[in-house]
Amino acid sequence: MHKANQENTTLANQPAPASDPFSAWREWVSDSERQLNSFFNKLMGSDRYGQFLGRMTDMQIGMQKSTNEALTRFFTSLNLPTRDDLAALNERLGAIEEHLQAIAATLGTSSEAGSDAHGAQVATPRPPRTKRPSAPARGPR
Amino acid sequence: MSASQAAAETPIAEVVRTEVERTIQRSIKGLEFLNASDAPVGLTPKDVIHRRGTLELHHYRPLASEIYRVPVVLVMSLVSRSYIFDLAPGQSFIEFMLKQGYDVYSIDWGVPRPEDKRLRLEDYCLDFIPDCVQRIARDSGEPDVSMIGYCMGGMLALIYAALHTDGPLKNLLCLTTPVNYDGMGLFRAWTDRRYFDVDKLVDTLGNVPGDFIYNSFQMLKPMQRIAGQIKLWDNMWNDEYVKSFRLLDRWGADQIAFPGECFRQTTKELSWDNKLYKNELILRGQRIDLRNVRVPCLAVMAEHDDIAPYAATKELTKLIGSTDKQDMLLKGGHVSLLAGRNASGRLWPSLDRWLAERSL
Repeated sequence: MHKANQENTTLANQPAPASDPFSAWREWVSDSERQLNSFFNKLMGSDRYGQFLGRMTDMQIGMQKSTNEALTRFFTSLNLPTRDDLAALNERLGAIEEHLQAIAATLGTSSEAGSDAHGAQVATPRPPRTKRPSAPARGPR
Repeated sequence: MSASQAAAETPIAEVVRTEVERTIQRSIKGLEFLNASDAPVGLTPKDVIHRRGTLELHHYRPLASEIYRVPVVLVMSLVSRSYIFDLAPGQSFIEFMLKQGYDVYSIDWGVPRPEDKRLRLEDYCLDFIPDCVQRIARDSGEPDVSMIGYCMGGMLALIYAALHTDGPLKNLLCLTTPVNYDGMGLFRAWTDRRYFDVDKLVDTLGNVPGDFIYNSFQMLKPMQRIAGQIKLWDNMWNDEYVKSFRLLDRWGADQIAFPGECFRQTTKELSWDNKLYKNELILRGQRIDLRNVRVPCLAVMAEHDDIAPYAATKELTKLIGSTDKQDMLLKGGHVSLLAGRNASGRLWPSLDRWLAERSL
């Protein structure tokens, strides 16, 4: 999320001279952001805004629904598969794939022993599981 | 002389000179920024040990000469890409954990397909996660596993822990995990049952589109995008800032769809009725009683979290039955807590200290 970027680093990373106009500008940007966010949050937390948002979402969904129905009729008239048809087909393929994987696992020929992102078989070396905390743990327990 | 005193005594001419230099750098690097392609993410070497639909179970190749006995599995939220755990070398939680000597697995839910609209919490907590845990046990040869869940992934891990009290879970770490939906602030107001028709939304769209989720997150801090661009320009001379900005910005915009039925269930049963908090949530006939969670648990919360606010996350450890449990409130926001530039100095070492002695 974008918020992370702003949380990540403040504008003025170093202490600025008291007379630094650039620092004052940076502080103004940060303060304005905070104040405006707070103002809009109050506004958007109200019952009226919730009602407004609900209506807008409803309207958008209504439009989407009409478009979907019109497109479905259009594709059907052209004897072409709709999105739902493709989804159903994909679902069946997925089920077949799962069955094949189960059969492969039963036969012991599964590729799940380890394949890299490109599907190549790999034998991952496993270090011994003997690790212990290096020093007495400090901080949270 | 302290740094602040020194800075305060810096002549204005010095400040102006620095600003002029930075302005030149901004212009040059701004052009580079506009022309640069996306930096690759998720580069830590890994193997896919299981695939099921869009789900992939990854095993990361160890980076230490010896590892802790108990493997760790990361559980991601359903609405975000899992590469937040592994942004870039040097800014990767997974890389850090591997270097500390953990055997790391992660469950990547992938991008839901249209047919995944039927998936519900039951599928994740009673089918996918247990299946992955079994496979991890087979792969690692160890009977138990520690689980780290982030955001909604923490909630899935928590429900899993409440339903699987006889093991093999050894430790549970929940990062910014909402449990009390009364504390969800604006999200709660926007999905008010009087005005928000979740049935119509899911019945029409199937999966809830990623941009719907993205816009909801953006609305939490409406000025942030504009201010973010100003701050980016201001810091354009700073390569480290720009790199971090690009990675997190990309991840933030890379929102994925929410499986429809799961969204309906989350809205009605969690957000409206707060059933998880009240121990009233029922999945496939089994009541989720958080008091059944008895494994060691660490709940990490972010002080400035606007997605899973402190009010929604703070009671997790009070609700569970574990005796070995701890809260950790850290500075930062929802994302910067886990993947920001300060995460490597705050969250990651704290998690390591907590988990190390419990991974033997």
